[in-house]
Amino acid sequence: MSTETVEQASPQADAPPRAASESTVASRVALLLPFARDDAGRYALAALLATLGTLCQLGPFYVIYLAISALLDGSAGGDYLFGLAWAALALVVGQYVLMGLAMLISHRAAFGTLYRLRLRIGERLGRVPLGKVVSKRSGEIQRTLSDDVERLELFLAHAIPDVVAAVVVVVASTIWMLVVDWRMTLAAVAGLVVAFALMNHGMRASQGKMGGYMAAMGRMNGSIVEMVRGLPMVRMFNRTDATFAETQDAIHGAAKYQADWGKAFLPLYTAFFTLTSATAITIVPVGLLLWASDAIGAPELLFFFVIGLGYGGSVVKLQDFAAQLTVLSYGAQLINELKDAGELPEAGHDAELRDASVEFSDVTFSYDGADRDALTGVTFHAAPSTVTALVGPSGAGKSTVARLICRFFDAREGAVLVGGTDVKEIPFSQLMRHVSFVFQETFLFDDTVEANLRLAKPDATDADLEAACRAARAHEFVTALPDGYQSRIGQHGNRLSGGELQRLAIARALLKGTDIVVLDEATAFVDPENEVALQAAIDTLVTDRTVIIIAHRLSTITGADQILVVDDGRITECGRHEDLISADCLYADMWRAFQSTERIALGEAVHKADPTSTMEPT
Amino acid sequence: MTTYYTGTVRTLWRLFGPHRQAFVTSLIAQILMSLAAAVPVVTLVWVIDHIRTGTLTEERVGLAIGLVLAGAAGQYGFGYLSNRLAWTATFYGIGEARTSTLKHIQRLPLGTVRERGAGDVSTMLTSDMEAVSTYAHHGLPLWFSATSLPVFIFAGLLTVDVPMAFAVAVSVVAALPLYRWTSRYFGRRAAERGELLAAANGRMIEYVRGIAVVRSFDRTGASLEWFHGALRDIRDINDRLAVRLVPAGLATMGIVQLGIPLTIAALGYWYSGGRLDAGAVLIFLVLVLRIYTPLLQVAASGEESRLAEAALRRIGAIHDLPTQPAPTVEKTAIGAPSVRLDDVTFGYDPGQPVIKGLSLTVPPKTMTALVGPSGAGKSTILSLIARFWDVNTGSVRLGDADVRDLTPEQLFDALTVVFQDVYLFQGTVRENIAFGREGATEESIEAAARQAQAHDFITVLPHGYDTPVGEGGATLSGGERQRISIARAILKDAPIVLLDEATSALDPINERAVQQAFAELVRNRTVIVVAHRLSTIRSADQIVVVDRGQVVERGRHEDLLTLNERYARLWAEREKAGSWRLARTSRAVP
Repeated sequence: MSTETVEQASPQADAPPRAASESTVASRVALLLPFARDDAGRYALAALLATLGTLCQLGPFYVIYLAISALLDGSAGGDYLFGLAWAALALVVGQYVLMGLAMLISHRAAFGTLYRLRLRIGERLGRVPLGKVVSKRSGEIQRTLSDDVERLELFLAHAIPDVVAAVVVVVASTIWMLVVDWRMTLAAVAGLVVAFALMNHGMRASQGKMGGYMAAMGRMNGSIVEMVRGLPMVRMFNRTDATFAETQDAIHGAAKYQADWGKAFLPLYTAFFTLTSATAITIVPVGLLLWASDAIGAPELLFFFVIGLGYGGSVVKLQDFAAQLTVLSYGAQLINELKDAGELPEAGHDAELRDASVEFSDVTFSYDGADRDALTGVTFHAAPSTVTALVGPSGAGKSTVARLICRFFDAREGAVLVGGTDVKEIPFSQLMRHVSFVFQETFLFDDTVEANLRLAKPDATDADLEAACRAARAHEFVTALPDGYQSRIGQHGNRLSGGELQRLAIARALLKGTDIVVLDEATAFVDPENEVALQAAIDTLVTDRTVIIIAHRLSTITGADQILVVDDGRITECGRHEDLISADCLYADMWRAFQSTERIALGEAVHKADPTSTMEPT
Repeated sequence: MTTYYTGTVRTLWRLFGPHRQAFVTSLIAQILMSLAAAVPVVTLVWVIDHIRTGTLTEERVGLAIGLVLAGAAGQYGFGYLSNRLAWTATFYGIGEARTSTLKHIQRLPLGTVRERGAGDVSTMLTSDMEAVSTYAHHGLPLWFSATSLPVFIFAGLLTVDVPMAFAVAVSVVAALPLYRWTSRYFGRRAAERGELLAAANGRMIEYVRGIAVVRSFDRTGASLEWFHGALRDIRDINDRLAVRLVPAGLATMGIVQLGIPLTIAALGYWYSGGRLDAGAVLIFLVLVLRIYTPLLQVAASGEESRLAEAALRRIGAIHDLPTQPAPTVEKTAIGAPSVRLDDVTFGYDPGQPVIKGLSLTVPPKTMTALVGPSGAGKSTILSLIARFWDVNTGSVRLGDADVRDLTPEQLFDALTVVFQDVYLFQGTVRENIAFGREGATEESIEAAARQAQAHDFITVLPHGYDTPVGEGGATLSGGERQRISIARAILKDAPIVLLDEATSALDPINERAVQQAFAELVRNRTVIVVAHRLSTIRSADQIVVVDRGQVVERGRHEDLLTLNERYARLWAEREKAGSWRLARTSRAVP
């Protein structure tokens, strides 16, 4: 029932699981790289252009080095400097043009990849067991399809060109520096090695605190969400101060945790940034000492003073990328699970269906992760053109029976048969040509009335649409909308009531025109005009069809051909209304409860303790 | 109406309250850090110049090494100090901001909060505050360090040669208007894109929600234009944006970097002209790179600044909502628990009243049923009595007191509202019931649970009254959760009960239990109920038929039936719906 599909907002939903945070950089990259295979050529081109662009970036450093060298040996003149200026101009322009092209190419390729990836996921969602999509995980899937896929853009459009370029540049400039002087190169690299060692240590040390950090943030977020959601209750029970104090405490706790974590992390974090931004710390002392002992010439020293100092930037880029990897690779895992999710086994060709009967043969089923069976040994036969009603306490398994007929899930044991054939042997599209369902949560797209109806029958004529709507008692309110059949559902001013939405869903089912209908009659007490119309619509829908109906108001189904009482996953009673009443078990109890409820008169209850009170004229 | 949002930095200033000083100190430390970072750079110039003139003695080498290390130490020290102050001030400051915003939310009319949606308000308090925090402890300090080092170096260059220093600055000044323009353009385009993308994204997500329906019509993936089109839209919107923004963003940085060739050319010109000596040229050559590189980081802080601005605007919008005026009269006594609406007019939008000149009197300890078509204003009437909203004109009185003259405590001491959507807190069953009255005893909790028909199912739960109900109470059935909420209301024991009868169906046994619980709750109280059940309506002391915000009929059941107007029609429909039996199918027909 509806509680099964309610998605709980968890404040920690975005936290990557532990396993993901402990895998290596290489394995995470290996997880992400296959996504680039989709448009490998363009990504490679982008990486190449970015590499050339980044090499151009080193150019101005070299130009300046040349200028300084010339200045030192006195060979620099105006013309020489002008020549260098032209060279620098060409390099800067080259750098930005190449970078720009690389970014444009990688972005456009990435948007294309995301588009194809989403389409593929969409197609796949159309073929996996439906239950996997409509269960609790629906929210998770929505997030993956939208957020996790979107986040891949960071990898595809930014990281691929940037990281490839950074690696090439770091390697190339290290070799270049080695050619000039290996000792100075060591000095330049040493500072960075120390920086990374410190950062790594800091990350590791703070990882231990991560759990507590997430818990403190989770507690705060949870407390805020609860405070805001429960505000009407809190105020009504005059508990504003106490609840507020609790939330305030959680907020303060989170702030303190953040601050403490910061205090522990900052010494290393600051060291990292000082070392990477001030490579002079190692280069200048080592260089000067070597120079003082005549172990190095002035040009080489100068080379490192100018080029070596620009070395840190590319390395920091790599560190930024490594930091993003955790979230990216976790998202990639979720995407992979979704795009390669196991498909519902499909029969290759249409099956022979004998008639419009529905049959359960000793069906046992449990939901993923549940510790007990939702259905146990359920057996029944619904003959063609009969009404079978499912009744029972909430959570007993009525909806599960309905879902198995529509193949949201497959039975674990036993078989569900439609027209005498196991539903597993019937291609899903064929099954859906025979079965319609109208469930409690009516689903209509945020689109026009017409588009929603045509979903059922793309080639329907306008007359078909109108006929279906008239039969479903929907034509009248549809034509009363500002744009009639062209009105967008859900848009301002076109807010339809629950009963109206259900009538549209019934019209859609009528257009589809199947011989089996699975129905959830859940709307007691929508406003009365609506209810009568809805009932008339249901009457039309069920005529001449095999009907499986989940009934809530027992009076509705007293005429059903058979009533199945579902209790705790089993069918405990089966028969016609009169038979079940005389059997005097759960159904009879429910029937008595149903009848006596209408006798509980709240108006009389008001006066029970005070019989003398009388109504004063108003 | 004053607006809370007055620019990113100023709003931050207001939000930070007592943590302002630490924050300002941190920014000063950030500037000192840049100053320290300039020391090695300047030392380098000094060293190179001495190499040029062959005057780099051993003492000077020692001094240079000392200066570089001291500069780095200073950079580390001030950097640490600045970060530590900024982080601490931000984390506590954001905590402060969350608390003060929550305080404001508490004083808003309940209707406003419900209208905004709890999800929206919570997101503002969690994610938006987080975006502000990121900017405050990262983006803003980054901006200071990225701009202050170039400023110091520029100041140093001015002392060497003024015209040349300005030549260095030309490219930055030239890039500035483009930077401002792209920032604004970024913001505008991003906002446009945001709206378009949200729509397309919404469609994409709806596909997942509606997958069962989509599949039942065999129209999945590319064959459903509605979904496929959304994916194409997302791609094309992003494509268009990238084509515009990538060049614009890179052009700004490129123009700044053009300062390098320009500087070299200017040096060549003035050096060959003899106005600059080799030493001065050296200084400019070494420092020019140090000026431009940090400036490129400003772009990075720009993105955080834009996110923070959007978040602060949303936070500001909440602060701009008017709070409910506190009572001006001291302690008003309510007296007998009657309810009276006098000529009340109210609209959610002032121009569109949903309640129009409505008057209603409910004597103490009687029941009034509100009936009428959906959208007639029945629930709004309950909301006005509970002061979720304040009336535009007219008055709502409990006993002798106007609800606007009561403190929230007085009001809700007199009043209980039972909503359709039951809300249980995380915590045990006992805690949820005990929430009804402060200091409730074990006995009174159990007695309330018994009266609410909840005791029996509670005692068979795994831990009885100490069973946690989980977030939102998901482990209990709808009827059970309703009964717990009724127990809570019974425990509260307020003389006036406002009841919104649920329209969704429960199974018959639960349904009866809930009705019995309601019967206990309303006993001996003044009751106003938005009624759907025949039994509730029929037995009411007064039935009020509401249509389009006005009372169209009122009286007792029999009187209204005799009148044979609106109510009689309503009743007939209701009875017809109640006696509906699913038509027998035409199986017998061959």
